[in-house]
Amino acid sequence: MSFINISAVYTADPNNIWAPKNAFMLNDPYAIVLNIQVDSSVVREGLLFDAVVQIVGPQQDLTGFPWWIIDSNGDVAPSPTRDSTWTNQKFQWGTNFAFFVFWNSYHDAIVHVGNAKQGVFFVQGTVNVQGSDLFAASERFWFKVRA
Amino acid sequence: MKERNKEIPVIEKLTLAEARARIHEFKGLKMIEGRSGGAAVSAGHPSRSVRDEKGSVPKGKS
Repeated sequence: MSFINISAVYTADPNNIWAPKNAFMLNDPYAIVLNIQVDSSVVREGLLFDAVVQIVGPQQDLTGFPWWIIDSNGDVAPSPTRDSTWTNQKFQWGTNFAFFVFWNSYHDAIVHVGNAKQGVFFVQGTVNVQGSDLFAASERFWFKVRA
Repeated sequence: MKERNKEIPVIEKLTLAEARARIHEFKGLKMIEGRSGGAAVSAGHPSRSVRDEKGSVPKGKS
C-alpha cells in the first residue's frame, strides 16, 4: 500500500541541514527541514507534491504578545504563522530525502512580523501528493531565537 | 515566490493595542518583495552523519 511520511521536522543551518539546531541568533542563517519517506510506487508514477512549512508563534492571546502584521489596509492584524508554500515538487530524490526551505537569516523570514524576532517558537510542515489520497503532517519542533 | 511585506523593525514585544498606537511608525516603510528565501531538495538518508552529507547540499535560489 502506498504511503508518505514526514519522519522528522526541524530547524537547521542551511549549510548543515542534516543536523537539527534549536537555538538561533536573529541574523543566523535559517532553514526548515522535512525528512520525507515515500513509497517507491509514488516515485515510479511520477506524482508531484505540494509542501507547506510553517513557523508558528504559539502565543495567540490577543491581550498578550501574539505575532502581528500590517495588513493590506494598513492595519495591525494578528498573524500567528509564517507560511511558505511550494507547489509541483518532484520526487526526484527517491524514497528517502530531505526537503528544506531556507532564508539567509531568520530575520529575513519574519521581517514583516511583530513579536516574532525573539522568543520560543516552533515549526511544522505538511506534504500533499497531487492526484492521490496521500498526505503527511509533521510533529512540532521547538526552537529559540535571541536578538 | 513573490510576497509583499512591510518590515516591522521593532525587537521589543508589543501588544496589539501598543502596535496600533504606534502604527504611524510602521507605515511608509519600504516594501519588500522576494525576501522569502529559497527552497531546495537534497537526497540522502537523514540518519547519515552531517559529515557524510555535507557536500551534497545544493545551492538554492535566494
